[in-house]
Amino acid sequence: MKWIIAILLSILIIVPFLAIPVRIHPSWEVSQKIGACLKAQRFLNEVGARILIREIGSGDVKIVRKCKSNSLMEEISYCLFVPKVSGGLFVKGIGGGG
Amino acid sequence: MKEIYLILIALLAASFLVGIPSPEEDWYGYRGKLRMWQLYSEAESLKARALIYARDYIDRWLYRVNGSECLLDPPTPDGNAFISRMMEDWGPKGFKYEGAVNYGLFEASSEFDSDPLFAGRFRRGGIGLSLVIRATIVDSIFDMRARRVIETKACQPTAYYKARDFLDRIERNVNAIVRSNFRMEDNVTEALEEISRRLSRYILGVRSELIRDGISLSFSYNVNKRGHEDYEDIVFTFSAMTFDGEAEYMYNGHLYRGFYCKRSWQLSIRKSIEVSRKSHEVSPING
Repeated sequence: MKWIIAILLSILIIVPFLAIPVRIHPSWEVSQKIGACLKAQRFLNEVGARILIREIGSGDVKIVRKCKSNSLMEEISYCLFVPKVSGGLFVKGIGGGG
Repeated sequence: MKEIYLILIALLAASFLVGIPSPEEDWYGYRGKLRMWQLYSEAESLKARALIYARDYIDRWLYRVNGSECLLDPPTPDGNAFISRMMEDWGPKGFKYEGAVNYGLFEASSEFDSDPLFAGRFRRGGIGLSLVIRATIVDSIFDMRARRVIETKACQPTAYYKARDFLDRIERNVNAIVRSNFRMEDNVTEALEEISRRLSRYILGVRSELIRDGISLSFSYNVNKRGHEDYEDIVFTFSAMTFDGEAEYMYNGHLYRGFYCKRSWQLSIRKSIEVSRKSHEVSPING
């Protein structure tokens, strides 16, 4: 009986600590996503129309033709659409501290 | 005593569990925060994107008309077209748009600071762009709004207006020089010599005026006479080209330098052979 109570108590004590990663996970993911969209926005406000002759981004920002910002299977990123007369570009910020 | 101790531990452990908000609740809070920053990013980059769209629009047009007669006015980008293109992306993201984007074009004649996001620079006679945005981006999930009022000016660094207007002017003035000489002088040979002298002087003056703005001018002409029974047609074929060596425009991922406008036109003067003969007879006496 003593052992059962001891095991149960141990589990009860450990559970909150196990729950912590679950608790911080949304926060972490969101901060990564916020970082991604801020990177895309800063890049765009830095290069402006020079983006029309710059096909490759650098570091955590890429210029891509297609982008799925909210796909779960992709890296944590956010895309800002840059319309052109025909077609357009996406400035893709990749997750990280904003 | 032991039981009380165990109960205290159990309560303490339970308090951890109770104190933790459920991940689902958390997610809504974080989701709101994330949407807020996404909305901020969309709104803060609106000016850059509106200017990039306009630059692409104008530069594409310049690429097409390079080497043409340059008779047209540059077309103004359409603010509604820009918005509907943006909605292709905003719609699936759950953002809506209220307000308007207005573009205007003008000839850049007096110096101003071109918005750096347009990646242009002031050129006298260049294509000036004014942009006015009064817009609210609405997050339709959390009903958050980001309102922006933006007014800016930019300049496309191709002196299109100058290159075109000078060709207009040259065409007008060259025609006027030729006509006035034939009005004053009945002798065709002498009229042609005088025209040659006056055109050289005129073109020299225009060249020095244009070169100050980085534009060079080439001009040439030839004369054909078509004789008839009692009159002859003197047909001038003129060719003028303005070349802006400082022009820049972007197309298909490349930066192009240099822009030219080329125009050819004809002017026909009909002279009565009777008058021409008379003038030939008279001229030695006058001379």
